[in-house]
Amino acid sequence: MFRISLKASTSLHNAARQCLKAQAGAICRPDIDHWEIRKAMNDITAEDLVPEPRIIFAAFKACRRLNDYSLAVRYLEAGQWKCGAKKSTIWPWVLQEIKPTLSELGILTPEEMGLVS
Amino acid sequence: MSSQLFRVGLWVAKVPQRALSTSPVCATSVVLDQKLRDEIYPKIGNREVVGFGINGYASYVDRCEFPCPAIRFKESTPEILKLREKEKGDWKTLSLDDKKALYRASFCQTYSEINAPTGEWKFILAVILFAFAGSGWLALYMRKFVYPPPVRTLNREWQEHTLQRMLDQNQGAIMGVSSKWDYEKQEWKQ
Repeated sequence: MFRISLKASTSLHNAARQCLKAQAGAICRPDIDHWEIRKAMNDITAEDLVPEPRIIFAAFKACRRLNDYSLAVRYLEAGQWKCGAKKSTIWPWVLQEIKPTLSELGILTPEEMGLVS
Repeated sequence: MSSQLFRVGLWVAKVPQRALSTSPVCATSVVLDQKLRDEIYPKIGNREVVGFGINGYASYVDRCEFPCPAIRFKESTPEILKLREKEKGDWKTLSLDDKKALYRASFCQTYSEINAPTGEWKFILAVILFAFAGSGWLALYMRKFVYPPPVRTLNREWQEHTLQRMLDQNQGAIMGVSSKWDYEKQEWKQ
């Protein structure tokens, strides 16, 4: 019974990975629009993972193209929330990876904006 | 209405032919036909519809699992539209107040505001304690006014006499009470 549950969890894991690749690919399209970026963000947030820096890069690029600053900040907040109880171990690394893009685009983190209490 | 919006969503999702077009990025990309527009816009006023949201309804909900609701939070006033024009330029030129205003225009609460403690537990605890107190009062009332007086056999003296009677009659001589009584020493067996 243990082996069956193990197999089920790995197949679920693979399905999640494929789904994620599709969504990450969707975000990376250069002509993405408001509807699709928001749908992709909602779907990726629904997955059981913290968004990787490359996904966050792609989201930022899409936000910049769509001229939507608040969406970028919202997605950062969502990423922090996805860390859950392990925020202090995971988020500093993610922040460190995306810092160059943040300063390049002029996006402030929620803490810098004073939105986090 | 949800099925219609879902169809709209599907229609938008099935547009990869845009990958071949050379037109610029379409900023207002949620295209609604007139019938949907007549249904939705009286309810949401001047707000911009921006996405699918949670279920395809043009509603605004603050939920941690769904960072992007279907519509912007505030109606598109001239000040906000001016900010949006400014947003098209370099974001480093936006002041902190501009950025905050843009955030609040699209969203109602921040994540920390959504998750902030409400103190609701105090109310719930108070209700539970009231319920306990109420049951206590009810039990006292029942005992005083409702229950008949206790049976006369329910006191220590009567029970001692009963036990003595059981020993005198040698009840339970094999495995029961009398088997534990030492009749020679007139005490309980050790």
